[in-house]
Amino acid sequence: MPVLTEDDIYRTSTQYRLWSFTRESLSSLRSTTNQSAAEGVRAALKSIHSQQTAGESEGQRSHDEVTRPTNYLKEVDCLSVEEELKLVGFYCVKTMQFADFCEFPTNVKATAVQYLKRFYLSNSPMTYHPKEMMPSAIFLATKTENHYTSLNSFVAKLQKITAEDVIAPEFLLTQGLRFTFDVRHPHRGLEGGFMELLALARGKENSVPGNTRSPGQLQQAMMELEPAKGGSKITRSAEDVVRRIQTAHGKAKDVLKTAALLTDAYFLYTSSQIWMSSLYLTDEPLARFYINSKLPSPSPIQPRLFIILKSCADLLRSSPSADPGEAEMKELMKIDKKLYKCRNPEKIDLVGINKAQKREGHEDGLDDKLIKKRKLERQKSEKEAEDIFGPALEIK
Amino acid sequence: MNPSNSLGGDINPQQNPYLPLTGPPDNSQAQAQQQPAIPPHLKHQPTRSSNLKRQITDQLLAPIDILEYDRPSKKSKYPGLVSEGMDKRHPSSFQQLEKLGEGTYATVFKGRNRQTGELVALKEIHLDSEEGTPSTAIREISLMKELKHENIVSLHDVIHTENKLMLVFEYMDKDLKKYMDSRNSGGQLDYVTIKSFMHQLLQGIAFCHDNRVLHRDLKPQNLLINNKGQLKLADFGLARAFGIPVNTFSNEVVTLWYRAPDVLLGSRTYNTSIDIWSAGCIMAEMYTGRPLFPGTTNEDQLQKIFRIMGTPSERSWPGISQFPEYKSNFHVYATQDLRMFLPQIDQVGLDLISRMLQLRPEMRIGALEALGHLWFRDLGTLRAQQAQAQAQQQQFGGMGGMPPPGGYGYNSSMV
Repeated sequence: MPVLTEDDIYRTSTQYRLWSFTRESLSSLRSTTNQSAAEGVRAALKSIHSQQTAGESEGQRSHDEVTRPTNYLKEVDCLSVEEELKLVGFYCVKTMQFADFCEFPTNVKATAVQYLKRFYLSNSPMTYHPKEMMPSAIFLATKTENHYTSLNSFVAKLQKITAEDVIAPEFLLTQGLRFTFDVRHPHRGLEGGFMELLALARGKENSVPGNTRSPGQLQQAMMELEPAKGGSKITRSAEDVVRRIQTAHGKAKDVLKTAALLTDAYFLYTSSQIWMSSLYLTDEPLARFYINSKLPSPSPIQPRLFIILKSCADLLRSSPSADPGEAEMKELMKIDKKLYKCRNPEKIDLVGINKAQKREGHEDGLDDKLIKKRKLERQKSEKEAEDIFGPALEIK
Repeated sequence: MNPSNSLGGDINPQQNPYLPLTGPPDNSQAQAQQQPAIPPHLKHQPTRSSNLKRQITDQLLAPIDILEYDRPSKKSKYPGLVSEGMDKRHPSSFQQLEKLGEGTYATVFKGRNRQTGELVALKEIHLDSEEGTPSTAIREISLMKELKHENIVSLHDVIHTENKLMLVFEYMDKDLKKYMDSRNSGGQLDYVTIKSFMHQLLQGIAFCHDNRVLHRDLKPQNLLINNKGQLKLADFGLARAFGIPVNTFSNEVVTLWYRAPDVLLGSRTYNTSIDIWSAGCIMAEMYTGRPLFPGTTNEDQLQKIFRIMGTPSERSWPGISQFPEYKSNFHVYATQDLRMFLPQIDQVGLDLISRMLQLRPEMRIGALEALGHLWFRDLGTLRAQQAQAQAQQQQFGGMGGMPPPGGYGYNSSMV
């Protein structure tokens, strides 16, 4: 029986199959989404406008109704991809604060942020405002991360958000996530890696195939490592090394809790690349030592791996702040002001849309069986010939 | 790529043919559009003071308000707007046939894909309007989307409409329980079938464990069999992903009869070994046609296990007295020979099942190790022989009423 490697397993994950991209494919996906959403906005506004005009000619409109100037439609100023990204990024920060406020564990927080980021790959804030998707994303994450909180107690923690506000966008969200809810976070790998590092520092580990050094030699080599950037002290004892590892652990964990979530790291790198990059970022010599103990040089993989880790570390370093300053807030408000004029009016009232859908399912309070029977009969004739499976959305 | 993923998003080419508004936009909406875009409360945004904590708390109490404009109430502005065309996949693409079963949160029907004629199992989730999509359903979808293996029932599609959520699974003829009941042998299975089923069961388990998923509810009713003799794990509603640390699990899982003693003793740090215990119980049941430990309560279940496996003590199981459900006055049974309960089993098979039915979880064999057990070495030969025998039987007019003994080599075109 073939033994699956971790890599094989990762390659079967939906995170890899559906949610991993090259920088180019990611950016082209985002422009496509932006363009289609802008077209949707223009079409919707146009139709509202023509309806209003029609209404007025029949003399049915009240006088205080707004009539937009005709040229308004041509000039509707839609959000750019960058503006969309900034806005979604801001709500990712809000999601993190929100989850902290509810005292949800890291995995719920991290998953909720990724849900938002994934959702807005195929949806634009012009269509669905992130502030309306956010509570739903967090609530869904409590369901998928085994931290289920009843909707009542969830809503009780929030002001101005009703149960309906949370539930109404849930279907949209699950659909945008393509019903794949499993997010592979780098946190787990980080804990495992640091356990190994500590064992190495204590002279208790660890020989991988091809590694000729004894645990004692590895321990000695660790003490002789050059210090991390900013860490001036030279390590002399095993205890010094342990302290150094603990410091790196804390810093790396912070990177995973913030920069890894707020950048495109999850879309561009695997979870183990991300946690190793977080170590690389906080203590490069330690990271090099760790990888050396696993892949003794010369190894053909090592140089390639370091290129990847470096580029991922650069990305993490470029992360937007998890605590936006005044200038950023000002810019965000400008974007949201702009968004106010280019939102798709058909999609603003999610609660109403959701209710309408439910009414559709429960006509006139007829009992479920009858509805089902009628629906099936109706749909049978209507949809028999219809092409059920539309073309797949190619996102790779 | 899954051909059936039609997104409701902006970039789904199938999406949202424009639907005209059926109701006029209400007044307040129009007024809102006339209002200055920046609402008063944003004009004097508090400066970022040292009192950051208070500010954040304020924002968090109403996190969606920070960029909010004074918008009128959320009353349905566009009541007629439904998202038709958002999901091209529709329940009507499947013909619903008979009901196969009713679960706590779902009803399962047999169905037929109208386009391809393929049989499917339709698991209709009862949507709870109070809580949205049930978390069990979400979890099952989440895991089934990740676990693609020939011994795990495959989730073809998820269809969400109105207030229904439907999971489309590959069709399997029956579950192991019904399969055993359908044999005119008091539920006992033949040697080759047991071996083949055990191998497939362990392969499915090994794959779950490799993917860091515990099934937690393995029982004959959750193992599905098709007429090609394949066995697949199903019903992942109770399954969960695991990692480190594994210490906060609920101990209210796994049907009593197949529940591992450590779980029965109240352990909340159980691991992959609980699925192995269940597999051991299932193996015994395939031999005898009866559950090995048919307990009625938690206590009775433990007693039934101890009566055969012997009552453990601190000596045989260091730390056992620390379990919440441990009682110092457990009736002390001596360990019995499993062979007395499984007279048909061979020596090598006995060795395997004994390794699976270890009271101490850390002593239980792992799924991968079990697959490498000597007992499976002749599986290929046995399957080939059985297929050959069946081919001959068919050739010589063996189309009589008896179901094929093992299922293997059964010509599915005859069904």
